[in-house]
Amino acid sequence: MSGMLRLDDEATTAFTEFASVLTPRLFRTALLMCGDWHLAEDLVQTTLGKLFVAWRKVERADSPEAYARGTLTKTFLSHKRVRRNAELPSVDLGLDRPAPEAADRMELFEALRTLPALDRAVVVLRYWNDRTVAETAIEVGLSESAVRTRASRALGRLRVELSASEASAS
Amino acid sequence: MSTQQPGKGGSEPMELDETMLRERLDTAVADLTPDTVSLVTAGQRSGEGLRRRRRWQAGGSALAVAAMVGGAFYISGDLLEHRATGPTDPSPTTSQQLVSASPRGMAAAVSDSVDLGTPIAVAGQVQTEGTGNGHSLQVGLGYVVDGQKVELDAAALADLTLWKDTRNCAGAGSPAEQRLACDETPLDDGTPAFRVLMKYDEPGVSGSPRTDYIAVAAVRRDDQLVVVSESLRSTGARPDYTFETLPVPMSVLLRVAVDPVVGLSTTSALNADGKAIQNFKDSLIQSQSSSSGQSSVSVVTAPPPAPTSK
Repeated sequence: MSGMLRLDDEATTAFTEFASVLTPRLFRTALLMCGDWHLAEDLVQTTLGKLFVAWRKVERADSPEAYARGTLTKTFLSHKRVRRNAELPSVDLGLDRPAPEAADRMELFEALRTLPALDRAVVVLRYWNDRTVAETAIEVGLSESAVRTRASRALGRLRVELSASEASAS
Repeated sequence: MSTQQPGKGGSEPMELDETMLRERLDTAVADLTPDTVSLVTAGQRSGEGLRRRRRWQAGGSALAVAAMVGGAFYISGDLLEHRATGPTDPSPTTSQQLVSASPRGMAAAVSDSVDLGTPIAVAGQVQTEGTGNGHSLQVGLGYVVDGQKVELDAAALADLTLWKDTRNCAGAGSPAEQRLACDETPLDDGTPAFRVLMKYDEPGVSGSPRTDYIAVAAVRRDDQLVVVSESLRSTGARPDYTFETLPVPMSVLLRVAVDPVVGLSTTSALNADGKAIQNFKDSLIQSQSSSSGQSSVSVVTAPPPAPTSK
């Protein structure tokens, strides 16, 4: 049956096309934020579910991609709030193949893991998604000055962490 | 990976600047690719479940039940090639020997009880393994009734305490919802029952408005809660449905809900009939615990939607 509780066919097709294009980037964003392959998949799935429900709103947004990214960020931060007292998960990228770049990758993820969740979100949005300070501020729900402060602090922390790990590796 | 790593090997912090960080972030995930098709499909189905949960909750049906059930079924357009044969006894009674129902068995029981002919699609699953309070079964069946596509969902839950959270007819719905009818009168034998018919007007794409209707019948039986819902969509102007004019009238939904072979228990014959259902969709949703310990429902394995043949 056509699924009367679903969007109509045209909207469903539009959602599927949008989600198919955006999912790889959403997933990488989520992975950088959480450092866990399976959790990243869960976050993306949850995000897509929310986007599906709000599809007409998404379609009308000035930037549907920004809407989606904001939804993902909120989903991630909400997840972190729920388990803020829990131990940070270990980095699990779900990769079992050794590769020359694997060590660098793990270094980076371990360094990101030392950041508070909100700072991680700021770093990923600001430096990987190339969002402006103003855009990042909107997506994480902070003021622009707070974003600048967190970004600067996070950069400094990453600098120290990555230096330390590379020094120990040399 | 960036080749500019001034701090590498030194004791001083490396000069990680924004450009280098961008490069490292990009390199770290550039070759990591998820299973996009599965994620999109699962996300869509998760959204369908979320949408229906919200509607049920807004509508004031057996809401704790609805929250668990979630209506996360996804019935594809696959047609059943062969319908399972019905039970040998067309009017089962509680005197029959009942056994634990399988999802397929419950689907066969609902199909038999509703008596609408061959369903065009069937799905179902056990929400929680085991036989304790968390145990529940859910099935969904698609029919074409007088040219109208109708989806019937039925859920049976062992946790009777959920009935306490049932909203009454005075509860407010969502702004998008119109409650066309609501009745919480117990059945003649005193069985607590709840019936509601909700209407949702939504602007369709390309300016074609559509209206969704959901009717829910919930009963609190001695050993389980049973919720049966009917969902359908109307795209043309027509008078609103009533309990009586629904393609599957409320009286039939109630009949299914109180049928002793529909629920957590059924007959061996119906379980056997269920095994014969072809293209039965299962494992569409599963109950999983989030890191917070709260139970949630999400789609975990789901094939891509089959092209609708209707």
